[in-house]
Amino acid sequence: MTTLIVILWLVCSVFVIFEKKIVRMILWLFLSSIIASIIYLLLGSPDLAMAEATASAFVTIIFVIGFEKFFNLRDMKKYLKDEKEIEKENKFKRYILPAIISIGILVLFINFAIPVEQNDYLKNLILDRFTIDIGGENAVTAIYLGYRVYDTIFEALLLVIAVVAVVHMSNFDITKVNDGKHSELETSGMALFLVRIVAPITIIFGVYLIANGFLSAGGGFQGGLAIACFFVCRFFIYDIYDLPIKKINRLEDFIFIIIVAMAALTIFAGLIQQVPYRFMTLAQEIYLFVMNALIGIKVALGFIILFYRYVAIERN
Amino acid sequence: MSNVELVSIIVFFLAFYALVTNRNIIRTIIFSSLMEVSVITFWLSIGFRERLNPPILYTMADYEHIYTADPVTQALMLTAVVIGIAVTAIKTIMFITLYRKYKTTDWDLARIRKTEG
Amino acid sequence: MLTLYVVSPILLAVFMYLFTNDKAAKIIAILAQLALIIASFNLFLQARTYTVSETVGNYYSVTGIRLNVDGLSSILILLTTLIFLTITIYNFAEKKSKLFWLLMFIWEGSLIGIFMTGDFFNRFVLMEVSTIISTILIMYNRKHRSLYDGLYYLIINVISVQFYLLGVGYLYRLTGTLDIYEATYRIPHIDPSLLVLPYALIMTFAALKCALIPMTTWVPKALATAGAPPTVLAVMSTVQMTSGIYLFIRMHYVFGDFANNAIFAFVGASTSIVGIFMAISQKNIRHMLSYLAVVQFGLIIFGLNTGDEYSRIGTTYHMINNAIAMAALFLGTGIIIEKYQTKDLDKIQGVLKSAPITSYVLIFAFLSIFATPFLNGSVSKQLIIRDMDILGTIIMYIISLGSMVIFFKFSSIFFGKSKIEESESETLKMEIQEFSIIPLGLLCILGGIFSREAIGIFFNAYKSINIAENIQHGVIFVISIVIAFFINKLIKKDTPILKKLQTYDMGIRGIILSVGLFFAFILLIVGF
Repeated sequence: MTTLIVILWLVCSVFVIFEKKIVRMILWLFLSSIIASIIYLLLGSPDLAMAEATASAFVTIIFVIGFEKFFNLRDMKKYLKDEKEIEKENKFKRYILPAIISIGILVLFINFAIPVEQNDYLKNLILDRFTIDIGGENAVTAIYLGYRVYDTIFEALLLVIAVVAVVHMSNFDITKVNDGKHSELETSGMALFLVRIVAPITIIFGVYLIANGFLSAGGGFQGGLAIACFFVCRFFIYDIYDLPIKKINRLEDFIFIIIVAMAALTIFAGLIQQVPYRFMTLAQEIYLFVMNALIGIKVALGFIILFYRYVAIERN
Repeated sequence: MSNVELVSIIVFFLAFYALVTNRNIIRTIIFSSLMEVSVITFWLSIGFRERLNPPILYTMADYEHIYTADPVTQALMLTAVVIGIAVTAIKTIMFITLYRKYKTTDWDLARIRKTEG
Repeated sequence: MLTLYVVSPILLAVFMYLFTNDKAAKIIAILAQLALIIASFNLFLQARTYTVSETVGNYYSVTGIRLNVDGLSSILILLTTLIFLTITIYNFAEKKSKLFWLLMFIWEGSLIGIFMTGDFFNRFVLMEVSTIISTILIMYNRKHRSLYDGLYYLIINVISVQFYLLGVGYLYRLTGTLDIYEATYRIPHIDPSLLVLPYALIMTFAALKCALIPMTTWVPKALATAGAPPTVLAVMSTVQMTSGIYLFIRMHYVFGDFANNAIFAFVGASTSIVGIFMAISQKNIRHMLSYLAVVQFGLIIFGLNTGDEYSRIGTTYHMINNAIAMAALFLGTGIIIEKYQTKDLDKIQGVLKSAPITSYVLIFAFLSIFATPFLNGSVSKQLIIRDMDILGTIIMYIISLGSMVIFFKFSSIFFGKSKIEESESETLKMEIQEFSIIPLGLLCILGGIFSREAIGIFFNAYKSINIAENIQHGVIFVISIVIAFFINKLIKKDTPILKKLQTYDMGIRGIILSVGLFFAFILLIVGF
């Protein structure tokens, strides 16, 4: 069964590459990511499957908002006219030579990739110890909030930097954005009905993922993305840019304070081991829950700011 | 070599071929996103077995952990996914600003307009 | 607590974000940087004798992330804090937005983290953070920003880091651990034919970070782009590219006997020689400096892969001196460009009279880059040259000669009549800037005069050099200067070859293809 889905993924990726229109390419990419997420589920990682699914949804939203101008056939004609300005490249040099080189490198690669069993040292060590050292029941959460929390701080920092960069690079002095073209969603009753059912489920699911991250599959990141998707759904329902921009920019400062809180917590995480034995489980679970909640809030806020910034750029 | 690993390497080099062939900036951004997905799939195929249980306490079947998926690669790839989204968002915003300034979506044209303007 | 070295710049960054452009906040920043320098000096004293090691969170060492600071890392951390202190003082009188300070200090935290980490994946995360921050910072000036350069730099780095991830994936499968020291113990027990692929993948990425041929074209885009303030370029050309070489050193150490030195010696030498020709043909002083950086890093890679233990120590010392000199060069040319409002080599004249302090610092920095008997490059060059065979020595002399030609071409800005008038309001800012780069120039001289003692202090390695060799190298040096002077006079600016080299640019497709070809090249040579 895994083989079938993997071949489906390969076919989808081939379609991504050889597609001519950009809008179809984005949709093939989305489909390919969803199939990859199902592959991850079959390989035994539900956490990563959820993360990949929500992440690819968000990336598709970003692509659709950002590249909306280039979908239309009229713009394609303009693009082709631009291309004639440069001298025509040899068909051979452009397509066939890289194909030969890529296939050559692929063959070399497979020649040297000798199949070997995985060395199980680190995996067994962590799976044996994680309930005692960190607590909770989900090994993946134990790793990224306990053993490798140093990585998680930087990844959180990276998201904040991305949000800050987007705001800085699109720095128009916007205080109010006028109503843009209303999408067809507002007039289509069926779409509105479905979105009105899906949106509250999204936010409940997001909160559940955050709260239960250390006990079963889930975690701060997946839950945060789901909550951000709720706000995207809300935007589709109303399509009015009514969240005030200044308040949203104020949220960024709030995010920084969260980062500082996270950093402080992780430095003192080592102190949890000094807590007396009776309270150890409680202390561990509180730590895991609070860290998941902080990460979830930060991710949700960051992506909401990102999404509204993109829409503001497109409306101008 | 397991199927998943072979296919992920093929997709990696397909994305590589597409990156070398295309002159459109938008397509470059999309293909680099595809390349990241293929690397993540490769990492997950490291301990491939036919039936794998997720590394959560009530589904872990055995004490030898042979049929449990590797939690280390999953945690690492969660980080990689987050980094992928952040980088894609930044690339997209840079492209939008570049289009406003140079009015082209082609790499070579952008270079020519940069040296002229 | 080693994590404090990384976390405190980040906390300082958040603090500066909330209160910026207050004079008090900037003074607090300078004091914080001073505290960081004292702390890292303390760390250096500790790390000379034993490796300071700590697992974040105090878990059992292999399951967590281990931070290792040995001699080399502690020197590089000291270098980072020194350069950041210099630029904090440099920007004291200038108004910069909140974003600038936030990103600069987070960058400092991530760079210190790169030098400290002992884990493959942690290094990946920190390198991504520093790549993204440097991309945003080189496009900082809104008027002159060049989005093409920024997008090019970002995309080529993000694509080649996927190669690194694949390599680490293979290594994790073979050794079962993500810790660098643990992997070093396990690799000798693994069949060498299995190690070919991870070695090629990881080394391709390391070669791109060090700007080796054929992947050099991102360097002039990143370092010479018009939208970058000079402080960003100073940090980038020194610490960020030195972190690339640090990655190279560590990865070669991990692979131990399996690592192939001859390829990289060859590649490093060709990078330097090609870089010399590209640098001579440039008309823009920032482009010249960026190609000079390429030449020097090629030379360092060449020196690291030839000779014995002692020559490696000499090259490492040269790497540190090169970093300080490059920082002084970029900051100094930043002052000059701001004064003259142009970057063109022909238009800038008479710097020696109008900005004397800056020009002396620039001259000393240049002199320390190519071997002068009194400044810091030379004794380390003699150490390198001693243990190699004749071909290596000839290559070193040719590269030094090339660097001298570049210097003579650059020095045309010092003479002539300057055509600008100074305005009163600018002078205070520029005085502070000039004051801030004086310590760098002094370090260049002191590092040169006392270089034998410095190598002893830094690396615990002593070797005496006899007077006859000193005289021989001095004579060769003087002869090279004379030859370089005449070569510079002979080169006419408008030869068609030079004009072609000046505007040569490999597009994004070219550089991605070169990454693939380099990977295939290493795979073929190491595999068979």
